[in-house]
Amino acid sequence: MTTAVADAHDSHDEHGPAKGIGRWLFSTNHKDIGTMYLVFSLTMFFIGGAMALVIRSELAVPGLQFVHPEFFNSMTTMHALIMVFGAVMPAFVGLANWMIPLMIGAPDMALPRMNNWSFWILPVAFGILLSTLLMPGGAPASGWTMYPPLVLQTGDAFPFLIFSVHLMGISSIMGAINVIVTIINMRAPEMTLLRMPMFVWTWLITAYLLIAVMPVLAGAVTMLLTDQFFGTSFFLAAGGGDPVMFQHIFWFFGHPEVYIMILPAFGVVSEIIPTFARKKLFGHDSMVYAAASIAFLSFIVWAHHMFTVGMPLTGQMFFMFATMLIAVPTGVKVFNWVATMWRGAMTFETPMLFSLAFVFLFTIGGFSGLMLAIAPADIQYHDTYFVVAHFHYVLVPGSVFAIMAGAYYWLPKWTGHMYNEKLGKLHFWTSTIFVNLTFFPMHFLGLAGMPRRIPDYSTQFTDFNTIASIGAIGFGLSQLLFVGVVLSAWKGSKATDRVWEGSHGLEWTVPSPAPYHTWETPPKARVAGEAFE
Amino acid sequence: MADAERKKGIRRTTLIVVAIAVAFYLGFIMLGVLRS
Amino acid sequence: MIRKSFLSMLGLFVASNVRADWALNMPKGVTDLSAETYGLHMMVFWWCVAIGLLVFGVMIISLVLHRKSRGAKAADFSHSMTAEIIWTAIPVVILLVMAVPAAETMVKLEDSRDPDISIVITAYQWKWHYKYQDEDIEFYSSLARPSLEARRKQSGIDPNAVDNYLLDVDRPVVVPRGAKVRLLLTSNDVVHSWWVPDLAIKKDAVPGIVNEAWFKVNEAGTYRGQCAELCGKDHGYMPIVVEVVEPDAFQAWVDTRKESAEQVASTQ
Repeated sequence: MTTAVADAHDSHDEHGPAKGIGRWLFSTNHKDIGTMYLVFSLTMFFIGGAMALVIRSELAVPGLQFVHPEFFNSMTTMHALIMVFGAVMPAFVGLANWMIPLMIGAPDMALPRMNNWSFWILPVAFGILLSTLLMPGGAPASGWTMYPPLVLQTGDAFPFLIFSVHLMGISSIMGAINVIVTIINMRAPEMTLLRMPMFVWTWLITAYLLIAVMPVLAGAVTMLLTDQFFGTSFFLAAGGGDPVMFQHIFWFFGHPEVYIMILPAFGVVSEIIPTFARKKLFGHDSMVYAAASIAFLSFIVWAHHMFTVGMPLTGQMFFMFATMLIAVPTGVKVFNWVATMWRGAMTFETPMLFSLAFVFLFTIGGFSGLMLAIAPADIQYHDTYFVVAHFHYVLVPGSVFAIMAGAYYWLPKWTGHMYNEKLGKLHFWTSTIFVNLTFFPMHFLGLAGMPRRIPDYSTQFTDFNTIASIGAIGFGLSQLLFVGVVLSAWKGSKATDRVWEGSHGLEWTVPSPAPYHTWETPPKARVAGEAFE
Repeated sequence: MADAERKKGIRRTTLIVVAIAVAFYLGFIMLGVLRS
Repeated sequence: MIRKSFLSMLGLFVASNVRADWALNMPKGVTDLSAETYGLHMMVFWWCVAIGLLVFGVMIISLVLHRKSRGAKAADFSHSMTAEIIWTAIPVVILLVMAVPAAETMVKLEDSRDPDISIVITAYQWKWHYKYQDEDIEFYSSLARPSLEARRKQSGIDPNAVDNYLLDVDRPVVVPRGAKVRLLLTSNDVVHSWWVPDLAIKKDAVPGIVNEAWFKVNEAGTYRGQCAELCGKDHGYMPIVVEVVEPDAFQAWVDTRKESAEQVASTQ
């Protein structure tokens, strides 16, 4: 089979990828590794989603019908850990692996063998984490935030929780190292930094966040481990330690973490909207600076998760002002997307639909975020369903919709076939309707006084909880349509190189499906008529 | 095929980035040690 | 008919102390600071509505007009320094406008000087302990019996048949209306958080630390809240009830409790 691109000769290509399971276990190919990340992420999405359905089933009506409170707390904890570390982050790494080399004209990632380890650590980590469901004392039930002293009451599962978090962190750190080293060293000769596509830029910035903060999480959980087993008292008051210090360290990781989960989404959407508006991204340089500002600011706002912990007044003021400031570069990005659409010539294929929903619904999540930033008001919002509404808006119709958009956008490039557009649109509309049905009422629940992480509630919260549960079931079922879409991409019509009429960028100059090895010879500035910028 | 220049660049960037990660890890543990 | 339903929707939207079904908004509460907090919340909310209408409005217009199927031809502009400056500067100004009143309220919230009453609150897994510093009154406060029975898994009891399901306790906190009450919060085990929405007070109870909060209630009544920090399996089952009574009723309550405390002591 011919796998070479236009002017490359390479002796490797004659035999193509290895046969059998070895191809996947030992792969150093960014496309195969990207595929594995994406398949893993989709699997974890369904597992985490099943846990969400357990939660929403119990919360559908007042009274405790199905699960014990301890198990309910395990479900909320595991749901979050799996979605954050098993679904969202690996999905973005999968997209990065597939697309960054293609977009910058590199033959693969800089450190292909480390890339293999980055992926294969994950099934091990999650196997360990999920196995805690079967252990005495049950799975961790302290919330994904793992605050001490409560987390130290975890049963046998405790060291396995710590170990799996370490493994996930190592995987992310190695992946981030790979992204940075690849982008810095392996761009095609004439691709200056400011000529890189937005998806590559946002991933470069995200990778820096990752290498700074994943080690901090590792430090924090290491200190939990030593407090539990090795006689230290980092967080134990009886030994002179401070439980609040954990919160500071955790959120120093945790806040940049949420930007790690959204910046690549910004990148995906910044690729898709210009394509389907047939108009260049408005304010490209501005978008880069805005993303960098968001990343920088994300380091100095962490204590807005801790406004009720007993912080001195000056601390509260600083964190309130800094948090409010993030709205500025984020707003700039939203305005630039709208300006890209303005006086374009839009068509509404599924990737565009998900991207547009992203802009609308992420912005709503941004508004509730701004409300949360106001510290005195946050006294009423903190640890209520208002917060749950906020972060689900930015993560589900935010990050997850962007991942879906990217999957729809690049699926023809990966598989060589067009997916079923009707099925895609159906997936989009059902997802959008049900996601709003699930999470919008949670704003009201929080404002009306319903706390988070409770398995049962006072009867005046019934109606919105029932609606949210119905929405959740609808949303969960809708995602089965996505599986159908992915499968349909094997039987659809043949995809061209360019796939989408308005597309731009190096990845659209290679054949669909992209050959196993691409860019063995780096492209010149103008390849097949394609300018870099 | 990566040329020698590129290989050196890759090695250098990797070492710098690993150093940053290790610095954050140790730094935050030291923070815990010094504050307790 | 339309007017009635519009007005009732509006009624839902306006804050109320009554815990109503379908409640859309937070309560205005019964203290000066709870009203200020509510005011800040509504201010930011309306700013978000305004900005949202603007941005979404422009988006929707664009989605309708600038479609290829309508024959639109894509323009070729892709940057404008002026636009970037304007839509960076204006949000900064809006944020400053919001930040000033927020900062003023924060200063007031932290000022717990010169209280009339101090109550030491210790959180336990899964109940609260209250000790009135000056009166030598102390007691535990746990989930009330009717709720305790109904909450069990598959209890067969309809929660709707229980008064104040999950929001009722055996011994409430009693304070006098108009008095500045200072709370000293700590925990005996894990982190908990003491929250009563009508008082707009939420403060974490952390082992090894004593946190301070204060409130002054303007209106007599019964105000209910819940633990607001995950603290283990019964996190959802350790509510808070504050009864605000006229000063003489408070004094009567103090005297009764002192009497019964003496009775118990004398039988030891």
